[in-house]
Amino acid sequence: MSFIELMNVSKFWGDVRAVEKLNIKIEEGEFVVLLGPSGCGKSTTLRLIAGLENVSSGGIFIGGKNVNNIDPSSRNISMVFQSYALFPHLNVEENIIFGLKVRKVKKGDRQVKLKNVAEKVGLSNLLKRKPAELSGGQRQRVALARAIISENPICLMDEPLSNLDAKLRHQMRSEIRSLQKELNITLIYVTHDQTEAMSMADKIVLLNEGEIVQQGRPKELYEKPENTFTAKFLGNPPMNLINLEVEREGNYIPIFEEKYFIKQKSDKKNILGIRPEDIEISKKGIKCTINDLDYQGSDVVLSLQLGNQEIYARIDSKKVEELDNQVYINWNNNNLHLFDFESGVRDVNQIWDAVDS
Amino acid sequence: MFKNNLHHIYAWLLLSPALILMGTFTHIPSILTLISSFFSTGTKKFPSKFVGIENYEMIFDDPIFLEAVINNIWYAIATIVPSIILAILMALIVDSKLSGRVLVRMAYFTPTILPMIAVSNIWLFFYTPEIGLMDQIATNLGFNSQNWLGDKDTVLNCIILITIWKEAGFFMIFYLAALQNIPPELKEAAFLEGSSKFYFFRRITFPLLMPITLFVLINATLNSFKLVDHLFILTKGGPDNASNLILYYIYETAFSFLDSSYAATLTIFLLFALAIISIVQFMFFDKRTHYR
Repeated sequence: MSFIELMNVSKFWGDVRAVEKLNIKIEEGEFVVLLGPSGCGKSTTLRLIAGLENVSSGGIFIGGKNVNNIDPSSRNISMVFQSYALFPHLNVEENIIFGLKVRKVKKGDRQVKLKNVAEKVGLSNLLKRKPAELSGGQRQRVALARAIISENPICLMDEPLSNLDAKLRHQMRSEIRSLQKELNITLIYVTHDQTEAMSMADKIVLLNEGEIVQQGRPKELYEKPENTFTAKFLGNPPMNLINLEVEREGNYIPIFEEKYFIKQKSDKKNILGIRPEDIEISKKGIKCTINDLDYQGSDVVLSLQLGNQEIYARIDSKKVEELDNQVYINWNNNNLHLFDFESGVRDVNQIWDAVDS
Repeated sequence: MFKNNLHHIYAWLLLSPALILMGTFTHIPSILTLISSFFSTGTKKFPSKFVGIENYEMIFDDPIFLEAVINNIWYAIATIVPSIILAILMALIVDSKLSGRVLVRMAYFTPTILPMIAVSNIWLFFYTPEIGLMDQIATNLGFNSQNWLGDKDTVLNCIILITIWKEAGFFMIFYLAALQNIPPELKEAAFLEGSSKFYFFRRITFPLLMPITLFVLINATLNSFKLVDHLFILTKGGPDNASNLILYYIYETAFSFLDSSYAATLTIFLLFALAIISIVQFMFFDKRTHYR
């Protein structure tokens, strides 16, 4: 059994489903990100693990033990809240050692731990300040310090970086990641930010409408999305999903009067997926017109008109100057993904040849 | 220069409505009271004349005033402390996930919105010997029948009970508002650390309620020295001044004994006493209070 395990966990508020039949396995020392759009149930999942909410059905296991009926404080968990949840009338020091005082840790031990943790998160000279006298990033560090001083093996974080500016967020991302590795904490981290998830996680659990869409290493989710939701959620811009039409000869991309056939065995209607960076601009291939250019420094994102559908292509910004309004696109067939039109599920048995016209 | 003057005129015009009202009903009467406290009360035979601090000297030789002051101090302590404790308790109860809490909130607040004269009459019935609610409960429990408002030993405490009943619900509203301002994550964060409910209240909730406590404390103190309305209906300060309080005594001096100068002197005395108490409270608690 894994260190933390959710087995068929469901949570309902009356008739409203928050999450349903979640199965997640988390190993010791793993960094797991619960990712998904707003209202997908990721925060609820975190609160269920913390014990701040009770499960409606299913079981949560920590260290092989069912903790369904165990108090939050006895689950060996610390938590960082989105709002930081600092006590406004206590100074930084009192905030950090609050839990130690509750558990009646001796004053000498408290001070040693405090000094240690404050150094780690860089708060040593701010210990006497009140939270209101700190910047957002410093408050975030206090919340972090409060979570790690308890030395609990498990730490839960609920969108901890969402209130910080972009630069600070980037810095905190790597700091949290290195702290987690250094202290060997099992970290469960909730975010709606795919960049955060991709760069930090050992494992991503992607949720939508209360159900797990896909879970796995970030690379797996990015390179082998099991369905159109994952394909659309990850990547910036996300994977292009091109609706195909079907005839007796097979699937094709309709471009006004012309039909670009895609050789494959299936005669079902499918969706073709291709990442923007996998589209090549070349001398021949499928003809498109450029609708728009989005300059992003090293890259440029082109929006292209492909028949009556719009797709994105990411190309080197140095190559933009050579382009006409009319371009031809091409791709390596190994980079194509095929999803069933009805269910959105990845079609794993496709054999690809070439793009034909 | 001309433009600057115009600004001044506008400013004074805008201030004037409040200024006139405040002046007519607050500031001018206060100053006149202060002046008349240095004069004797005029009659047809002896017109009012300047007597210096003679009126103030009288205060210290006035046994009834002394009794009113002692009564009032006991009244203040015995109403403020329990009503604040009750208010916090009630606020905690109606802030929790209680079914029908809206009804309970309304019930707690009802005494505050009832007119005091009507309430006093209801309580007068409660305290009536033999047939009143209090006596019925007491006799059923095997105690002797008691003239609650007619006995020197019980009368002040009976008034105190009514005040607590009335004020606690009012203060509860302030505490409830403050409690709802405390983010729920603080509680969750504390419980995750293993804090008990009582520890959380002592270390977090109560300190965060301090600004409200200070506000309530000053208000309650001022109210306790300003009480007259119950006394009119219930006791008229009796028996034998056992329920006489400062403001009621001032009222009696002015309008029953018609000694307006002495009443003015007592008023000034009360005003200064209240100002000093408020300042002391404010200075004492302000250091211990966290403002958001």
